[in-house]
Amino acid sequence: MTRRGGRLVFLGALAGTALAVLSCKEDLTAPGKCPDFCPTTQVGLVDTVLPSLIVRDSSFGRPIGYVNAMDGAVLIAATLPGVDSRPIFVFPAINPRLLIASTDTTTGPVLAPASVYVRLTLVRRDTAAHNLTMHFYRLAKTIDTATSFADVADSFSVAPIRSVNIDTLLAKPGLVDTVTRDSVFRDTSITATPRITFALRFDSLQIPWTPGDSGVTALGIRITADAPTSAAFSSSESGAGPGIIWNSRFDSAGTIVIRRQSQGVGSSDGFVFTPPAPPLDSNLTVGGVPSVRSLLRVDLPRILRDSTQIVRATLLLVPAVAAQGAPRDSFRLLAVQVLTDLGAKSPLTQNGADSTTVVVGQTDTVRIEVTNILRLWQSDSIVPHTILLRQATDVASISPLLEGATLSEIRFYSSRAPAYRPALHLTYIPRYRFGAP
Amino acid sequence: MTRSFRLLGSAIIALGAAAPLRAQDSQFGIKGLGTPGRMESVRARSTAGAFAAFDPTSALVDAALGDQGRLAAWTLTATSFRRVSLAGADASLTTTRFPQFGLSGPVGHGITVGGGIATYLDRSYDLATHDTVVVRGVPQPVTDHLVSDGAVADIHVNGSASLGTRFVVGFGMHLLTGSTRVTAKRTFDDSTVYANAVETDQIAYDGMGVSASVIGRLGRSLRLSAFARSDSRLRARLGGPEVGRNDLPLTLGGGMAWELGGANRVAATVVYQSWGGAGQYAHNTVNWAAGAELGNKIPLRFGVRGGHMPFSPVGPAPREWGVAVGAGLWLRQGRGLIDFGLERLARSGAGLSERVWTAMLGITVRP
Repeated sequence: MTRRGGRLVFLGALAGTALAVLSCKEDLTAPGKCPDFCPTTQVGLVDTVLPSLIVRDSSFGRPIGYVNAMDGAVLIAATLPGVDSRPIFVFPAINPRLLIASTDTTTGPVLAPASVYVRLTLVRRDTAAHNLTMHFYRLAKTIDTATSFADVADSFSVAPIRSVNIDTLLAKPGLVDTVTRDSVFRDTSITATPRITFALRFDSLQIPWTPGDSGVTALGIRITADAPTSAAFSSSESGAGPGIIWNSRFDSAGTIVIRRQSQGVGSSDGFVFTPPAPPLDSNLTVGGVPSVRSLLRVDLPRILRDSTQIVRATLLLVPAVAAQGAPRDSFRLLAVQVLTDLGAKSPLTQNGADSTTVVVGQTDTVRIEVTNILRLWQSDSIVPHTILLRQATDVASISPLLEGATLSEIRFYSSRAPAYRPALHLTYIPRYRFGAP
Repeated sequence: MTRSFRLLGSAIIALGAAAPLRAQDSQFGIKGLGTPGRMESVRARSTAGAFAAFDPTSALVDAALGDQGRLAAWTLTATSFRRVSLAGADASLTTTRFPQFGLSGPVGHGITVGGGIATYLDRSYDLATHDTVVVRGVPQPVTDHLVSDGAVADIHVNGSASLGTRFVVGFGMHLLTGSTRVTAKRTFDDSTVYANAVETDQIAYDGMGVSASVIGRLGRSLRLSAFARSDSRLRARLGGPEVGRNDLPLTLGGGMAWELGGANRVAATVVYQSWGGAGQYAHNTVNWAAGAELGNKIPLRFGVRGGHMPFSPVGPAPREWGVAVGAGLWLRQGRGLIDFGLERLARSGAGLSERVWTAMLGITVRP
């Protein structure tokens, strides 16, 4: 080989080697065959139930709850064995005089309403109960947030001013009853579960015009169906509360004209129910109205917090009694990290909560996955080791996590019941022993 | 600047951008202290290590520094393509390493001093194991990753002195230091219920060593080399506290190089290391190599090696054999040298076999 040829061969081989050396991608992953071809220490796993970590647990929310009957986002109606709940609301006065024409400032008095429509939005119902019927009652105009079930019992003991079968109305073509002139609007734009808004027509006998109080009207609703049932209407707190529409007749220089006047309930809506919510006891109560929350403080050992990696954590809660509420109903039980532990007034973090579903009548142990919360405690030493349990109900178009939207509640044994106290089921990986070959 | 130096400069820049200082690895070292570094330049490794006992750019024999004759700096990079077969499972791995840097130069009176960094033990691996564990009464498939990334480096200062025209002696001091970033990770297939766990830490290593060697010339064409090195212990620290301490080996070796005339040379080297005291899975080793270098301008090199690996989880020490071939190109009247080589290694033992192709590129600058 000539010298020039040898140099060319060398440069070619050099270029090939350089390409192989410099263009490679690091790939070190190899199949391990343990224990022979692995480090002496393997990744461990410990699964244990720790029954004594939950301490200083208590419930808050009775008699004044986090959400109460008069300030909730829904109006609960229920006719259940042992539970009777009825929405009540007051429509305030309308203007007794109105501009008749746009060309002058002359006002005319309301003569009498041509018709009255009451607007209601149904946000939750038991679809298994057929012939759901709303019965309307006129109530005393003095009802307020302190009104109890007994206060209005007499008003509900007479014949209703009107009854509307919801299933029949929903079956009407075009969702309009041409006889009663009731109509329905199904809004499916917000959630998959439609929000149903009723415009129900009342005549002057059912809701009479009384010039003395300018149309102040108080109504109550009781529901019935073929089976015990419950439903929820949106309240003024949700922004879509009950409303009233007066189609009023006015005298315009001898000509009768009709003007529409709408009025919401303001904040004068709520519901009354019997029997009253039971008081709190030594158990941990969650849910109901007034809504109750329970606070669990966890005494997480330092060795678990600092020297392990928790891969799964489950909160175990043993019901003291079966979950109470409407048959076939359910609600979500949320475990939420508190921002700071201030007892009953502990603010909650905005992080997502861990949750599970509780079915009414359930007596099995309730398990809530709280892995996210315990891993947060491992990474952030500032946050308090406190979990708050609260109830949530998915109410179409209002919120998927609405509190105080159902009368259902559950009571768990607390740490004061040693045999059934709350416990943490932890699965964790102990600290890996690096350094040993 | 000539074309040759531009080429050399480009190669040095490319090498510098390639990868961090690490050495060739093997799964046999996982249960032990790691995989011992070769301490060989590309030139020596292209002869399978046969010329390492006489090569001034290899870090094996301090006395060989005397052959350098002028100020020199060198480095090399090596990329390994490793095929691992273990219990019916195969895997292909690729690693790029920068196992050696060095600098040396004469200071007069036949004395040459030098220093450099070489990989003493490589501790890089990434093991993935699949298993099923029963948690809360339910089988859960999991994948474990045990990862170690790092090495123990040998930072050495050495020197050689000529004793007359026939003998050169050499001495060296070695500081062993390094760290590995270690990770243990468990991934659950059902990640909606079980969170993944990752733990990472850093282990620091330290140790010391001394070496001595002599190269003697017998006649006009035969040279003999003898060398010894004693390393103290390797101490592992995890964030301060000591988590491990292992004895390091005594190294004894010898070599022979024969000038055949016409710029052709052959050499052979044998090295004994008392790794057996380095832990439960360690064995003493004897490794040998024989090779040749033909020509001066564009020398062709080849060689064969054999011996044992020091660590094995079960049974005797794993066997290793290999062949290598390579060449070099002198640039600018010997002021620069580019070497490349290709090595094929086969290792087997304890049910594991490894087949390794390694491409090497070395640069030496002698301004």
